[in-house]
Order: sequence, then structure tokens, then C-alpha cells
Amino acid sequence: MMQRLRLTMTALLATAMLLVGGTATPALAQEKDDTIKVGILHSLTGTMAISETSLRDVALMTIEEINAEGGVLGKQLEPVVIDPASDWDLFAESARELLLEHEVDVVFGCWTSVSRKAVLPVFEQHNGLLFYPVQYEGEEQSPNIFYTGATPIQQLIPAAKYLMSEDGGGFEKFYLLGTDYVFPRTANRILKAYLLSEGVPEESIREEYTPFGHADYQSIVGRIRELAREGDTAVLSTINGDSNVPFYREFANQGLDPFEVPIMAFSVSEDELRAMEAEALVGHLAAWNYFQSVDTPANEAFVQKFRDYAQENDLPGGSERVVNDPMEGTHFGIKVWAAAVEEVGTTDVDEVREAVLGMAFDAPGGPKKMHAENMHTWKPVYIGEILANGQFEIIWESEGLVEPESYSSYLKDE
Amino acid sequence: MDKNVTQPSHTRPPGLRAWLGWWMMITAMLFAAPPWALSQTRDDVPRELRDLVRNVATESDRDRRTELYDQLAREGDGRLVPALEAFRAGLLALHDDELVIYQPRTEVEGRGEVYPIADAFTERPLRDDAGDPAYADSLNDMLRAARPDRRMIGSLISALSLRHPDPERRQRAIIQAGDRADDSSLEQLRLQLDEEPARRFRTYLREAIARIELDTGDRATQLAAAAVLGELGGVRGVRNLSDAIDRATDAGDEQLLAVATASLESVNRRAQRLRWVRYTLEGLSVASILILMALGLAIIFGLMGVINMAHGEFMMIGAFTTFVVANLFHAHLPPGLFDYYLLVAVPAAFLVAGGVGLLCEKLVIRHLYGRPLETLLATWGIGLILMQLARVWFGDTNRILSPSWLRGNWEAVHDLNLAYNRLFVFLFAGGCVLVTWVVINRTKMGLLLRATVQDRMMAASSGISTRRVDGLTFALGTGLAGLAGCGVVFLDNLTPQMGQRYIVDSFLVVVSGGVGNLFGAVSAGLGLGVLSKYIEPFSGATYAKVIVLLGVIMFLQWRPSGLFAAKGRAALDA
Amino acid sequence: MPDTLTPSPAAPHRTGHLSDQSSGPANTPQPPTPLLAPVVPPAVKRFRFWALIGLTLTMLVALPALNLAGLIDTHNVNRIGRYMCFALVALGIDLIWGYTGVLSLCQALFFCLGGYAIGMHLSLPEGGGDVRPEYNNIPQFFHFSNITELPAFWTPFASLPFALAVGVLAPATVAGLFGFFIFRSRVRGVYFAIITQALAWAAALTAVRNELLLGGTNGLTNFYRPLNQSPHWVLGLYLLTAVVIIAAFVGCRWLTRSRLGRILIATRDNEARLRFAGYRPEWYKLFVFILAAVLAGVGGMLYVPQNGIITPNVMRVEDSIWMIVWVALGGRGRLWGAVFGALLVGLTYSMMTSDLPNAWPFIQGAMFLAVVLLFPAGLVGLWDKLEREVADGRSALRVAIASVLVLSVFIADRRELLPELLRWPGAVRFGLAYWLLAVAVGVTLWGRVAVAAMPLATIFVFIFADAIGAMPAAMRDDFLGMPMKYLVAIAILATVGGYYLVRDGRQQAFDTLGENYARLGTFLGGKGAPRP
Repeated sequence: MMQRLRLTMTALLATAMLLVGGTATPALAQEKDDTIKVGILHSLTGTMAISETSLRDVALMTIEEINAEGGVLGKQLEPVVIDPASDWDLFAESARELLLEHEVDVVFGCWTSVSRKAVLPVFEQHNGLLFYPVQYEGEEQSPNIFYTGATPIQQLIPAAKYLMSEDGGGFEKFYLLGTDYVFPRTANRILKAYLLSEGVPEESIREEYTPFGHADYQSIVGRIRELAREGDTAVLSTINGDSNVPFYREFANQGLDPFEVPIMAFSVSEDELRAMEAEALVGHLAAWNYFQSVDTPANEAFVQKFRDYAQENDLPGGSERVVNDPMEGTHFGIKVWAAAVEEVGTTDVDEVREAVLGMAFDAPGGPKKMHAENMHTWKPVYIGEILANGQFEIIWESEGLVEPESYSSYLKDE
Repeated sequence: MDKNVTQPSHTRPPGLRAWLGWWMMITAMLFAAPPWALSQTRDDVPRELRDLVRNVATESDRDRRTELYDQLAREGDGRLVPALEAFRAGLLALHDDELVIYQPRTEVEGRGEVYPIADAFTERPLRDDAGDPAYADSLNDMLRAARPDRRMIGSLISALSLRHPDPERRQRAIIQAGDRADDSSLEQLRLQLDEEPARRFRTYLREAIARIELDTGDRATQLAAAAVLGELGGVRGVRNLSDAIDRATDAGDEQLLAVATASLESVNRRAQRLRWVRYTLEGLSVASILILMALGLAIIFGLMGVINMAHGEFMMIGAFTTFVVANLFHAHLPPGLFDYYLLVAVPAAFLVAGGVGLLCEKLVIRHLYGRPLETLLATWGIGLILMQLARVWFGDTNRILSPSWLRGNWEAVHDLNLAYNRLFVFLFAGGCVLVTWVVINRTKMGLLLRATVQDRMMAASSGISTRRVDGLTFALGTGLAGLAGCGVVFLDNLTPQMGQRYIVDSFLVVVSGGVGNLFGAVSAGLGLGVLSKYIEPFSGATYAKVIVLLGVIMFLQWRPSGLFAAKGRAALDA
Repeated sequence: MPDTLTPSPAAPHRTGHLSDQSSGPANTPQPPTPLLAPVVPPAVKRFRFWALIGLTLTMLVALPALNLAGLIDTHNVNRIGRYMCFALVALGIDLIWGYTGVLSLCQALFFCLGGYAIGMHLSLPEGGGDVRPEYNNIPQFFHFSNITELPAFWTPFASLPFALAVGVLAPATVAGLFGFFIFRSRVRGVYFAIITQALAWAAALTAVRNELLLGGTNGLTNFYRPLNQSPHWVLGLYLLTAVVIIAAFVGCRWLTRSRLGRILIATRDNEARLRFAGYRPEWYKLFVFILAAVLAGVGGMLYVPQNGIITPNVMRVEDSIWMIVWVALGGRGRLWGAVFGALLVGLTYSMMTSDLPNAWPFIQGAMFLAVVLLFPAGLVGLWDKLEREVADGRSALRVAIASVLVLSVFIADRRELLPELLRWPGAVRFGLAYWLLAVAVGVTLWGRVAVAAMPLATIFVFIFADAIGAMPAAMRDDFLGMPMKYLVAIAILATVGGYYLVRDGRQQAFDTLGENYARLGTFLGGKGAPRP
């Protein structure tokens, strides 16, 4: 009995192993050669999941789209999704895993600056390629990262300029409110430098920071109210993540009128508005390089495609899903990379980099181009006003594309 | 130990059914007299005015528009307000050459999410040729006011709504007339001062009149106005008073300077006093959240000795239940009922969270009684699972639709606003404390609970099914967490991880209040909430939090068993 | 199910002291206490000796050698090195929690204090920090706070000895001060856990502030790149960590077996009685608390250069709880349990977040529940049940040989060292190497091999193979929605489970796998543990 059992055990073990090999092998033997692996590195759990999950969704949709059109270089793209769980240490490790274990040819990912800073050495060491889709504080330029989001000059300055203009309402006092980390700090420094250079007196500019996840905005809105009683006050908000919901709610509930005291937000997009009652926010503003409401057939198709994708794949939100600026950045990042690979006929990072630099292309939001040297993207700037349906109406747009600036001139001057 | 426990039938809390009955009766009564039955029909608006508004809305030349606005201000009246407001908010559209407004999006069978169309002036729903209600599919092609116009329209609306039937609107119009220093409204304001029915508007009327007079009147009027502003002490007068001081300094007008300066000082003194009142109120609002969270925890942790790290997630369950109920109301019931969804959501949140709690108790917690540190790990695991379940089902971004009566604020005292949602949470917390107290001290179930907690063996041998009481107690605690979610959802985000940011706080409240003591938890919650708001103006939000945390740590040094330590035999046995 | 199957929790002791009554006995159920060494059969002793030798050799010799030979990637060595730093923290937690019964939820804070101390040194040019002339040769993040001069409190960190001293002294001081007051006021059990949680939270909130000039949310980074990239540095730091952990292990072992160790256990089991016996438990607790903090600090100091970044994110309360899980899963009150728990949980976490991005929180949650409900004594408990069977006869050696065989083929396949004929997928449908491997493993295990060793060896081999990056491609690819390796592991575990069922019948099988499974029986049967 015992003997037989042992025999069975050993046999079972061996068979299990071989069966596994047997079932997987034929498929693999083929896949190996005709797929190109691309990595997706976005937090699907933890504090950043609220923003990054959508980027994963749109990336997978874009890859599916490219595959449906025949893939790249005649091969299908194979996405490798990893969840770094909003854990910055895990980001570096996951990046290594993608580059070395899964041997992906390119990675699309990261949202927070700290996660990008954590993976940057990895990409530089192993000469990988990362497409980073989110607007950020600048002061960085790595040959292994393409930045498809905005640099400060492409978002902050036009917004401040607009608010001071006659069309924007001629505001004279500014409340700079942000989450306490490097992007808002830098953004507010740049804004402050700009406002001072435009002749706004120091005492008309207030600056305040709250920690991540701050939910109690009673006192801050109270202070804004006090400042706003004297008129002509606008709020420039770099509040990030889930603090926005309580902030806007408090703002509306304390009876501040969006037309008298508008909030110009730099981190609130269509996706964040899904969590808010937009009816109370009508009239507040946001500055981005893309809005879902950009009125072109290409964009309409993009929006529709994403909705269909969300519905087909039973993503939470389904056909109600919206797209936003970082999602467009992710989408055209993948397209740009695919086009570059087609152009040079290989996925080699150095060759692809050369092909991407200076490439002009059509994104859903209109034609854009990659900068010829500094790894960033030429983008248009839009200012949008929140509508009751949670969308933005574009009320101002830059003339043509604005040049990205890796290192802000407003920071250098000081 | 279990074998000698019989299951006498009288262990069922007898009051429960009666309570339910009351609840259903109240709910039914409210639903039976729905306020949408009282929907008023508005007076129709003459053709000329309709056309005038249409012309403004469609005119593209700015100068011409300005003229038209002036004309509107002269000829228009309160009946134009809805249309102008819709224009300002971008909800106005042209439909068969007639101005219409789009009403909030609703779901219609066969059409999906659409916007019902109504006449812009009367707000009567429009019907298409077949006699069915007319709908629009999207918000495209809206007539939208240019941004600089919005402020102009704002003043126009306020000028037109000085006699608006809605007191709140009237109040706002009065304040805004003062803001504009618009002496054309002066006549109207004075007239109203004599006949205004609601006494509380007298302050606003006097303030607005004084502000306008101070800016535009002759010297004698200015002197009187400055004195009035000082007497009223409203901060809105600060700008006018400082302007007057500047003028008086320039003109060398000693008397006006003296009066205005004295008034300004009195205004500032009052503002300073009010600021502390405001901090207190803000603190009470923070405290009410803390208390809501701590209540359930005080029962679970304090009475049962279970470190429930998933407490925040039970709160999240309550919040999502509220969300689901709101969506069901929105989708399937007439819009008028929507404002009452909390009547269903509150018990639902309690039952769902309590039900999940009961399940967890049956499956996990009951194996861990007496091992508090292990319950910490187990409940943390439960929390992770619940969080991920919510993420899979609902995703990370969700919007709760709040009932209309939770929006906006109430100016309780001159210059002191209370947001309705915070007021609601405060009262809600108070209600929960009261109900919990009643349940524990005045019901059979509470008696069983206290008996079990005080002496388990004795309770068991007198025929109480302690196991069942444990289950119910845990369910009660998690149900209270669900109620907390029902309140917090109107202040904070609705995300799967929303509970996490409250958990450490709630434990501190329970511990510093004295474990096993509801009154202690309430006092500690009030203390910590108000304290943090008193500190915040000096230190900023983050450091206020840190200071409070360190303060609690030091306090527990001094009194390791909290504010109200349990005493006597019960304390030793529990 | 008779009550005897469930170990009954300790009887409540009434100390007359108010801080802890409502939560019942604060000390956790008794993990096997090595108070009086049980009688160990010679076979087991031999086995333990050889296992120890084998593990040490693997850590200190085999792994570095394989790395130098290019068979293991440097980044995998780096990863194992980093998780060994966690093991150091776990040792500390085991001392304070497992032995002394004090649950501290701020170990991550101490870890960060050590980490920040060394991180500050590494950020400066003297420590090889990547500073640029355009930022005045000070760490780049100062630029964002508009600071051009190095703040005064940073200057001493230019010296490595100073940074090292701070890395040890800072956690010790914080723990000392905090512990002194807390233990003096006899705050115990749950209260201690909650207060330390508050401390950790306060620290995490403070650390993200930019005014502290410690890099805010982004933390410290831009260290000397080769530290965690060049093979020599990585291997050097790995070996340093390995040596430190061995030293710490030996030290802790000595400590726990000394008179002091017995006092600690007595503190855990009955503090009041100890006090009546004339001892002052608070001083012992304070000492262990400081020791645990220092271990965590040292762990942080070794971790940061290997990781390349330190952020306040690690200070969060969640991370401290996560650290507790390492020990809980490994097994409280046994040092090696803590070490293995940290390595295992760490590796599983990094494995699952990449393999099962959507499902891992469920698995993680289930892990917490399983530890508490099914294996209250952790892996150690499971091991204690199986050890005799495993150690029996020559089976251990055979299992070891089989494991080495499997690993070698995995590595060879992964490194593409196999000739075309043997490769998987290759000339022969399933890869000749794997046929040969199957035969070899079969032959090795034939005869007297303990079945209990199989699942253990499988789990060990799989996790180890994953950790050193030797999992063959086919094992990593998805099949039925999850990577193949999980299916294989599940298949093997199921087979072994089936074996026990057939051999011993249902009831016996539960017994064999430990009373812990009997808990599953009670659990499903609906009866809970009796309450004290």
C-alpha cells in the first residue's frame, strides 16, 4: 500500500509537471516569436488606484486596438500588467521585473513623481523606455523617459494669465492651495513668480498646503471666504487625488459662487469629476492639454471606443466612463511608440528613441508633436469650464502648440 | 461551556419590532405627503420680455449685449430669474425658437440618460407633437454666457430677485445689492425695510443700505451709515469702512475718520469672537465624525475586546449602501421622492453593515475571543478583502447624489454659516449616540449585553445565550459603523479605502475616552475634534493632527485607562 | 468536535490593574515556548544541524557563486538582500512580541529612522550622492524648497560613522524615551499597540512635510547608482546583510536562551506574578523595545542603499502591521520563524503583485485570516508537526538532492544553457531536460521519502526559484487565468493532501497535518472556541 502510494505520488508529480509543460509549450513556442511584450506599471490598489486604474484600462484598450489593426511589425502586442500597489519601493522592483524577467520592450506607467523617481535609475541602468503620461513639476529629463504630460509652462502660466485677463474676469487676488508634495510646491512657486512678475502684490497671494488624503476643508474654505469678501479672488488649486471631493463640496456648501470665486484646478479632470456632483461645480475651471469635449471626429471615436471597451469588459462605471488628459497621454504614447517601432523596424530602445524625438502625430485631441531634444511633448493648452454633466467646455485655447520646458525658466530666475 | 446554555426564547430583543413599526410609519407618512405635489406653477411672462432674454442670449456682440443687459435691468422683473440663472449656468437652449432649460439628467425607459426639457420661464415641461415629454440627449448646443458676462448676469439676477418669493434668494439679493453699492436699489431696499416680513432680514437690509450709503451718500448719511455698520458688526462692511477711512484721511475729515475707525474696530472685534465660534462649530463637525466612528468601536472594542481594524471598512460598506440606495431611488422612483432616500438608506446601511458584521463574527471573530491581538490581524485581513471587493464591484471613483436639502448652507447668525451637510452629520451623530444609549441601557438586548459583558459565566448560567449576544453585539457595533458611513459619505470621498483614514483616530477616541464607556467616547470625540480645530489656525492642518496625536499619547501616559476609567467589579471582569 | 482539539486560551489573570481588563488576557495564545527544551531525537538533531549548514552555505556561498558565474541576476541578489533586511526587523519584532508579548505597531518608524540616517549620508556628495553643480552640489530636492545652502543639521551626515551612529542611536533614543514613559505608566497589550500606532501615524504625517527638509513625500533618492546596480556593490551589501543577520540571529538566540530570555517569556505569560516575585518587568520590556528598535534601524540602514530610495510611505501604520504579519506567519516565539516569515511574505508579496495584479489583496487578506484561524503558531507550528517525519532517515537528503536537481534544470533552462535537444520548448515536445529531470527526481525520491517533505520542498523550491529569477518561462505564463507555477504548486499540494487522506482517513489526516486543520473542522462545524 505504502509503496504503491509513493509510486503514485512520484508519478503524479512528474506527470503534473510535464502536463503543464505540454499544455503550455505549443502555445508558447508560437507566441514567443510573434509577440512584442509591453509593460503596464500602474497602481491598481492603494491610494493611487483612484487615478491610475483608468490609465491601465486605456492602455489595454489601445493595445487591443493596435492588435486588431495587425499589431506592430506584424506581431501582436502582449501587455504585461503589474500592480505596484502604490508602494514606491515596489515600483522599482516591478520595473526591474518588467525589464529583466518579462523582457518588455517598453513600459507605460507611473503617476506620482515619487514613483517615477523610483523607477528612473532602473530604466537608465537597463536602457529601458518609459512613457510617463502625467503632468508634473519638470526639472527632469532622462533619455529613457518620454514625458507625454505637460511641463509647468504648458499648464500653469496660461491658466494664471487667463484669470488675470478681461475675458477671464480680471482677478487680482489668488489663493494658491495644494497638496503637500513636490508638484504643488513647485507649481505654486512658478505661479507665484509669474504673478509677482505681472505686478500682483505679495499680500494678494496666499499659499497653503494640506496633506494627502486631507478631508476637512472647513477652515481653509473659511479663509478663502474671508479673502474673497473683498472681491476679485480666484483659487489656483493643485489639490491632488481624493481630497478634491471634500474640498469642492465644502466650497459649494459654504455658498461660494463659482463665477465670483472660481477655482482653477490643475489636477482635476473628467475622471475626478466622476466622484463629484458636478451641478454644484458648474463654472469652476481647469487647465489641461486635452479635454474629452475637444470637438474632432477622431476624439469622438476615441471617447466612444473607450466607453465600448469599458462596457464590454465590465469595468466599474461601464459606458459612463470618461477620458481625461493623462489617459489621452497614455493613448498617444502607445501609438507614438508603435509608429516609431514601425518606422525603424525594430524595438531597440536607442533607435526607437531617435524615431520618437521630433515625431509629429495625430492624437485624439488634435495634432501634437514630440520635442526634438528634450523628451517632452509639444501640446496645446486648454482652459475648460465645468458643465453640469461633468464635462468641460473649452473656453480658451492656446494658439497652436506650446513648447515644453524641462527646466522652468521661472525657477532659474530666482 | 456551551452545553449548559439553553436557548430561552426571551433572549430576542422585544423592542426591535416595535421600533421597526415606528420607523415604517414615519417613512410612510412622509412619503404619503410628498412635496412634489405642491409644485407651483409660475406666472407666464409677456412676449416682449421673453424676446428680450432671447436676444441677450443669442447676441454675439459684447457692446450690444451690455446694452441689452441694461435694458433688462430696467424692464425685467423677478419672473426672469429662472431663465437668467439657467443662462448663467449654461442650461439654456433654443427649442423651436423658444428658450428652454434642460433639467437634471434622468434615466428614461428606452431613451437612456436624457435631459427633460422645460420652458425657461415657467419651468413647465415641454411636450413634443405626440404629447410625450420632450427630452434632449446631450448638453450640446447650449446657449452659454461668456465668462465676463456671468458676473454681470449675477448682479442682474440679484437686482431682479430682491423681491423673490424664496426668502433665501431674497436674502442673497439683499447682500449682493450691498456688494454692488448700487444706489438704484436703495429705494427698493428702504421700502423693503419697512415691510419685510421676516425680521431676520432687517439686519441684512440695514447692512446693505448702510454700505450703499457709506459709498455713495452725502457726508451726514455717511456718518450715520458708518455708525450703523459698526453697530451691526458684519464683516461685509469692512471694505466700505476701510474705503471710507481712506477717503476721510485724504479729505482730512476727522469726524468721519473717528466714526469709521471705531466702527471698523467693533466689526473686527466681533469678527474675532465669531472666528472662535466658527472654530468651535468646525470642531464639533469633526467631532461628530469621530463620535460616529467611535460609537461602534466603543462597543466592539470596549465591550467585546475585539480590535476591529476593519471598522473603517464597515463604515465603507455603509457608505456604499447609501450610494446604492441613492442610485436606486434616482433610477426607479419619481424625482420628488429622491430627497427622502436617506429614510431608506439609514436603516439599510445599518442592516447591511450589521449583517456583514454578523457574518464575520460567525465565521472568524468568535474563534478569537479573548485574544485581542489576533483579532487585530484577522480583522485587518477582513478589511483588505472587503476593500478589494468594493473595488471590484464599484471601482475607485463613485459619486454620491446628495439630497437637495443637504446642499448649501444656513446663515445661522449674521456672518456665521453652517453647511447643511455638516449640520446633518452633527445631528445624525447626536441621534446615533442617543439611540445607542437607549439600546444599551433601556432595552432587553442592552440588558443581556451588559450582563454578558459583566459576567459571562453568570449570564450563561442564567440562561442567556452568550454566543448569540456576542454575535448581536458585534453586529450592533458594525451596524453603527455602517451608520457612520451613511453620514461621512456626505462629507468625504466614496472610495473603497475611505475607511482607512479614520481608523487610527477612532481607536484613539475610544482609548482616551475610557474603554467600555460610551460617554467617555463621546466626550473624547468632542474634545479631540474641537481641540484640533483650535490648534489648526496656528499650526496648519498637518501639525494640528500631529499635535493632537502626541497630546493623546501624553494624556494616556497620565491616565492609562482614559478619561472615564471603568470602575469596580465590572471593570475587572469585562 | 470535542473541545480538546482547540487549545484553550490562557486563563484570564486579574492583575487588579486597570489598563487592560476589558480586553481579557492581552498576551496571545501560547506559541510553543522553548522554555524547557523538548526531547529531540538524534535524527532530528542531525537533520537540524545539516539544514543549518546547508542554509548558511546556500546564503553565503552558493548564491554569491551562482551570481558571480552569471547564473543569477544581480537584481535578484539585490532583492533577496533587501528582504533579508526585513528579516532583521522581524527578529526584533519577534523579541518584543513573540517573546515579551508586547505588540509594537511602530517598527516601521524605527526602520525609517535608520534608513533616513544612512539616506542622508548617501544623498550628500561625500556619500556618493548624485548632486549637480546647477543645484549648488546639494541634494536636488532642496531646489524645490528654494534652498541653496545645505541646512546645518545635514552637515554632520557627510561623515559615514556619524550617519551610522545616528542610524542606531535615533531609533534607540526614540524607543527609549517613548518606552520609558509608556512602560512606566504600565500601558500594556492592546493599549500599547494603539499608542504606538498613533506615534507611527504622527511621524508619517510629519515626515511628508517639506519643511523638515528631508525630501517630503518624495523622500531621499539619487544615491550613488552602483550601490544597487553594480554586481560588486550588490553582492557586497548582500553579504554584509547576510553576516549581520546571522550575527543578529545568534545574538538573539543567545539572549532568548539566557536568564533574561526566561524573564521575557515570564513577562509575556504572567507579568503580575513576575512583579510579585520582585522583578521589574518594565525595565526588561524597555530593554527589548530598544533592542527591537535598533534591529529595525539597522535593517533600515542596510535596506536603503540596496533599495536606492527611502520615502515616508514606509512609515505608514500599514507597513508596521505588515511587519507584524511576517512574524505572525513565520511563527511567534521562534527566531527562525520570524526570519523565514519575513523572507517568505516579502517574496510572496512581490511575486503576487506581478503575477495576480487583481487578486492579490484577496490572497493577502486570506493569508491574514489563515494565519490567525488555522496556523496560530505560524509556519513554525506546521513545521513542528512535520519535522520528525521529514527528518526521518535519509529522506531529507534525498529531498535536498531532488530540489537541487530541479533548481539546476530551472536555472540552466532560464539561462539558455541547455543544448537545443534538451530545451523546453525544444526538439522533443516537452523538453528532454524535463523528461530527464522527472526521471532523476523520481529515482531520488524513490524509497523512504517522507511525503510531508514534498509540499515543503515544493513551496521552498518554487519560491526560491522565483526569488533568484530562475522560474522557467513556461511556468510563468498564464494558464486558466493564473501563472502555471501556482497551478503546479496547487497540484502538488493537492496530491499530498490526497495521500494523507487515503493513508490515514479523514480524521487522522487532520491530525497529521496538525491540530490546526482540526480548527478548520470546528470552523466549518460552526462551533467557536470557548471563551474564557
